[in-house]
Amino acid sequence: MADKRTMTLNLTDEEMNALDALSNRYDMSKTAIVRKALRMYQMIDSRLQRGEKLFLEDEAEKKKSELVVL
Amino acid sequence: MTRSPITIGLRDLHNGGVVDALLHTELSEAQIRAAQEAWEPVRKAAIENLHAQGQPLEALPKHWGWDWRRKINRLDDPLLGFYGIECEGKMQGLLELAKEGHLAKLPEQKGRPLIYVKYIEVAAWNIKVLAPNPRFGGVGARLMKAAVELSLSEDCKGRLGLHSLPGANKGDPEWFYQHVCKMEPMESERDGEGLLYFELTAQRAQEFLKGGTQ
Repeated sequence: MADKRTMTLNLTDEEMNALDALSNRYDMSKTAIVRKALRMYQMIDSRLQRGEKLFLEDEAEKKKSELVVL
Repeated sequence: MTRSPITIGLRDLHNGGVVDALLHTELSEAQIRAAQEAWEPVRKAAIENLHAQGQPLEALPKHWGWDWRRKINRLDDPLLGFYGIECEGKMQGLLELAKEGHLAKLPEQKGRPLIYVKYIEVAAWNIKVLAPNPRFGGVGARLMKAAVELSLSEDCKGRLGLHSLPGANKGDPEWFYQHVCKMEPMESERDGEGLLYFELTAQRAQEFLKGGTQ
C-alpha cells in the first residue's frame, strides 16, 4: 500500500462536527473521511479542468442543476 | 511516485512447490498491453477448444471478449485501483477496483462504504476449466485478498462487493466468491445483465484473510 505522511489539520467546531457526523454515519475514521473527500475533489477538479460539468439531479422533482466548484 | 511491488508466493501446480511472484498495486500502460497480448490468444483458443468439444455456448466462460487495454485511459483515476500478479515475467492475474461510489447492501452493514471489484481475471493458463494442466494456483484468491487489504487500509473494514460472471459449479466464478472468498450472494441485487451480486462482510473478510489461497 502507499506510504502515508502525517499533517495537522485545524478545523472550526462546525467543521469538526461535520467530520464527526460523517465519521459516525459511515463507520470510518476521520482520516479516512478526509482522504475520501480529497480523492473525490481531485476527481471532480480533474474533470472540470477537462471542460466537463458537474450536475446534481433530483429525479422526483425532475430538477437538474449545475454545481460550480472552485 | 511508483509504488514498489510486493513479493508474494504462488502455488506451482506443476511441481507442488511455492514460487515467488510480484503483487503490483498499480499498473502501467505497458503492463496492461503485455498482459492482454499474452492472454487474448490463449483465452480465445481455450474457449474455442471447449466449444469444439461440445460445450454449449451458454456453458462457456463469459469473459472471452474482455480487453484490458480499454482501461488504459483510466489508470491514473484516483477513484480506481489496478492490481496485477506477475510471475515468470508474465502477468498471471489482473484486478480493477472502485474505491468510491459503492455502499454495502447486506442488512448487517447496509449503507457502509465498501470496495467494489469491477473486473478480475486470471490468465487462461491458470484456470482448470481452460487449461488441462494449469500453471499457478491461488492467483484469483490472492488478488481478492489484495482487495480486502485495500478495503482495510481505506477503513472499509474489509467489506467488498461485486457482480459475478455466471457459473455455480465448483471452480466457477459464483462458487469461487461464495466458497473461497466467503462472500454472501444477494439474489435481490442482480445487475441489469442478470449477474449475481456478492458481498463480503467485515467479519467474513477476516476469515478469508486467515484462510489459504486454494
